[in-house]
Amino acid sequence: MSFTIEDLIRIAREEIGNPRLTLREDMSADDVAEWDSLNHTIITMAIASEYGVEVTPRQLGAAQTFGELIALVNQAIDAR
Amino acid sequence: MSPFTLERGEFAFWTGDGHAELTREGFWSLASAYLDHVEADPRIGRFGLIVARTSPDMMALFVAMIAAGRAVSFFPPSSSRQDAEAYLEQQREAVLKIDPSSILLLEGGEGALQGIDPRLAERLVSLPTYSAGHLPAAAGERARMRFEAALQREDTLFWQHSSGTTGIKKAVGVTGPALRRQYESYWPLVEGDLGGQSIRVASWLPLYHDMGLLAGFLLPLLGGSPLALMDPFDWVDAPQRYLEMIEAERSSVCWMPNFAFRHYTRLRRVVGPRKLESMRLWISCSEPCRYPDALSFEAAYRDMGVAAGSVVGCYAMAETVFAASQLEAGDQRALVVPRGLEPGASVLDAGAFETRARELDVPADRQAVLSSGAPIPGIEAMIFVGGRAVAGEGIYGEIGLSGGFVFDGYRGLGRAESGLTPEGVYMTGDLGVVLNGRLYVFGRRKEIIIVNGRNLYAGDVEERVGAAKGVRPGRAVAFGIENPALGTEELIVVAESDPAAGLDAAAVRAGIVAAVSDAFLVKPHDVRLIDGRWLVKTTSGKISRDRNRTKYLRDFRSDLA
Repeated sequence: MSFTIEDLIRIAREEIGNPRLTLREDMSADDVAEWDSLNHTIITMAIASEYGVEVTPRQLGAAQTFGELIALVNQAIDAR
Repeated sequence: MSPFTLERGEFAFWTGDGHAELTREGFWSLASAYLDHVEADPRIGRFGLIVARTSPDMMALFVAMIAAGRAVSFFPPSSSRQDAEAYLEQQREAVLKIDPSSILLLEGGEGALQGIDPRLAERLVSLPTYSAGHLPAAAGERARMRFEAALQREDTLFWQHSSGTTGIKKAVGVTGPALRRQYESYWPLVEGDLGGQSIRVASWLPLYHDMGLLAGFLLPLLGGSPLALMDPFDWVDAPQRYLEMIEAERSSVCWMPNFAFRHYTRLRRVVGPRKLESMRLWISCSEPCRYPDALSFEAAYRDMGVAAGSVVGCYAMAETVFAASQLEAGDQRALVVPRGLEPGASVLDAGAFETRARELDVPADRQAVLSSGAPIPGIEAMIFVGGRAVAGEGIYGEIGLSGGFVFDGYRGLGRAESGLTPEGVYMTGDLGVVLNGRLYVFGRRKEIIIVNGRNLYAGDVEERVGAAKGVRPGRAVAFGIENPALGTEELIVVAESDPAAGLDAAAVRAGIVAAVSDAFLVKPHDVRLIDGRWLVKTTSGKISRDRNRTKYLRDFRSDLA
């Protein structure tokens, strides 16, 4: 099992409630108006729940890009 | 006989990965240690500003300053997500305006503030943190007695800055008698509403905001009520931990802004099972209370023991120390009212009605407002239209408050400038109606935007945006749009771009987002760059916030049509 940009888009669209939301790996949360601290927490918890990994908002918040965020999630998946 | 119960009530401090208990005795010992330090340190002047995350030490230091006869205030610390330089830039202006004698930092806290400003650097005082368990218990008596004596003081004990974390703050001073009147009026009411169950408070609220400072610290302190606390940054990172804390501490009451109820409802799917039946009152405060969000929260957590009707509205502000009104337990009700009412309108003639329905379909042209209840003893609420008090009920207008713990005006401003009438009525700027003796608050003067409990003055935001690169100075407008999905407002910015700056639109937009986020800790939901012909002005040539808001909705937000 791996975590991809498509997975992140799906979860973000669902949790933020914007079905037209578009993300790229070279983007960051600063580029997305709806990605505030509360939505970041919810998205992190949704990822943690769906993929059975221990990741925290603070850990994923350290990622400079969504590509880095995806890599962090995949590291957590590999470490399970 | 003292009206307070300062010697009872334990504390529990919860962090992301642990928790610690502190007896009331231990807390007063800690306060005594800080009292000794404050009295011995000549650098600590008349007014201290404490910059620290929530902890036993910062709370003990707060009461120690009062016990020492000084004035004190909390100030928001930087977050781990915030750039230190941006934090300094944001806070420099605010701290200079507050103008404390000393900026009190606990061990390690000085790092971020050393470079704040040469004018402020000399006021930085770093204090040690103590291990409460190693302090002599008997020493606590001195701080407790000095604190209780200080509560008789007519001068200001502490300052509350009523604008949350915005750069421009208004300071409300609270005296001992005002705090006492708020406590004597409000705390027995809360106790009564718990129906014999004792008050056990659970709070994640920031102590630099009136709701956290009063409901989440001082009122439980005065009442001897057990208090379980989380730092708000820890709460944002792990909101499920707060539910774990409630279960473990058997908490019975909490206060939260409306957006937090919506947040927990959205989190329900990913939150593990908890037993929350000890919580008898979930008090929705600090923002307009939205009935659908209360119902959704109760439904989402029913299986965890959250009772139907346990979310009640409260109307509170620093200007009345804290609570001005609260809905009684068991009396949960809402007003379904058309949007866009003008002050002076009869809500009933406009088709509004009260409801206690547990399921409600609210049309898009209406809103369902949870009642904030009757004014608490000592407070009178009146509705004003065109500056005149309205007789009777049911008329929509500005809420005016008077009573024994309404403030005397903001620091440095006269009474009239502070919104006080010659008769001593505080004109709140909030709009609402009284029906059957209960307040419904659902509007405000249009220059205030409330995002996740934070009050932003649109003018402050526009000033920041106007100074951003690529924006024509003075050619920006900010306003709020209610977001039903979030249970709060979205911050919208529309700005006229300046091609001469040589920046592309994405860069200008990013600069605006950064400037606003850094200054106000709120990210704009949407930033629109427009050309010179878009902004609508009034006949006097000023940019009309209201008309531009309408135009924005029409031109850019078909999703809200």
